[in-house]
Amino acid sequence: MTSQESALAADIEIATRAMPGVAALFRAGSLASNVLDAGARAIGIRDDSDPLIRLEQTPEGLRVDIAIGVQDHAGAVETIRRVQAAVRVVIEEQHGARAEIRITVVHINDTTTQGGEA
Amino acid sequence: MNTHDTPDPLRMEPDDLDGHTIEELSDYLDSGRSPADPSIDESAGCQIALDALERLRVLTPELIAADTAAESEADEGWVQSILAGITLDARAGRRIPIVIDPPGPDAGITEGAVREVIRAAENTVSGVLIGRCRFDGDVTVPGEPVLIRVDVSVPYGQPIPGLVDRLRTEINMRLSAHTTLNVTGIDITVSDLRHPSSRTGEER
Repeated sequence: MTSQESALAADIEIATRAMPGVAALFRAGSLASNVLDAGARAIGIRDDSDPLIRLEQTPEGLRVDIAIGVQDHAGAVETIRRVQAAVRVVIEEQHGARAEIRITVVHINDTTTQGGEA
Repeated sequence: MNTHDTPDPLRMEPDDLDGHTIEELSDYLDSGRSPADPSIDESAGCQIALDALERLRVLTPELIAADTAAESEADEGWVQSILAGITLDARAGRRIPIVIDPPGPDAGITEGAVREVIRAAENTVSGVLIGRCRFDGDVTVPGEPVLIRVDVSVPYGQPIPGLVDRLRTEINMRLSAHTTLNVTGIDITVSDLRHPSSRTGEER
């Protein structure tokens, strides 16, 4: 990831976390890539503070992959709508072009239990 | 019709919980999630399993002690089924599309998160515990009819039709908030009736 992409990913992460209903951010991507990523972090060749957002340059343009946890009371459908709108603004401001945004809800934060923050 | 569940859900692969086991997660809860373990806190699968374990502890502390010799075989079977459900929930499973209007992002929710949504409905219907949860229909195709099937355990002495109706209403409401699935029905099977005195060995 270039420094420009890292900065964009970091800003997308901030915008996503700021949205009502977002309980946590998780590392986006496939299981295999996440296992490799966890290994890389374990042996110190990747920083824990690296963005959880995945950016990928494809022939069609930029692709943004986001995995979120949602507060139970907020609703996944409504929260995705908000995140999508916020992320689109950040991308248009910084990237200047449209991007494909992929958002996946991977956890619903049950308000009756103690959920962990990623 | 496509029924999707796992034949032997207690058989967990290490990657299902990002390298952790249910026992480790149980210990993590015992320690009050301290010291914080990022490999657990940043894993959606672990978070789903932790939530379910915590709910189970709050709702039925006596079930947690089910591995003691005092418990009957039938009770152990039900606890195994609950734990099986938790481990199954922790698997991300298929990605279920969420249709946003107007069309925008490629949005979705993991099958594990949807199972978690269904299972958490037990919080609002006192004493009900959800065991197996299955989807009949292809959840990966937007608009495809999907029938939800859940097995539940209910406490002895409470009118079952009322409990089941409340649970069905709650599951339906929660699915509407978190998914855009075309749910054609929610079948609830009461597969266990719990006698409080048989759990603890105390007479009431």
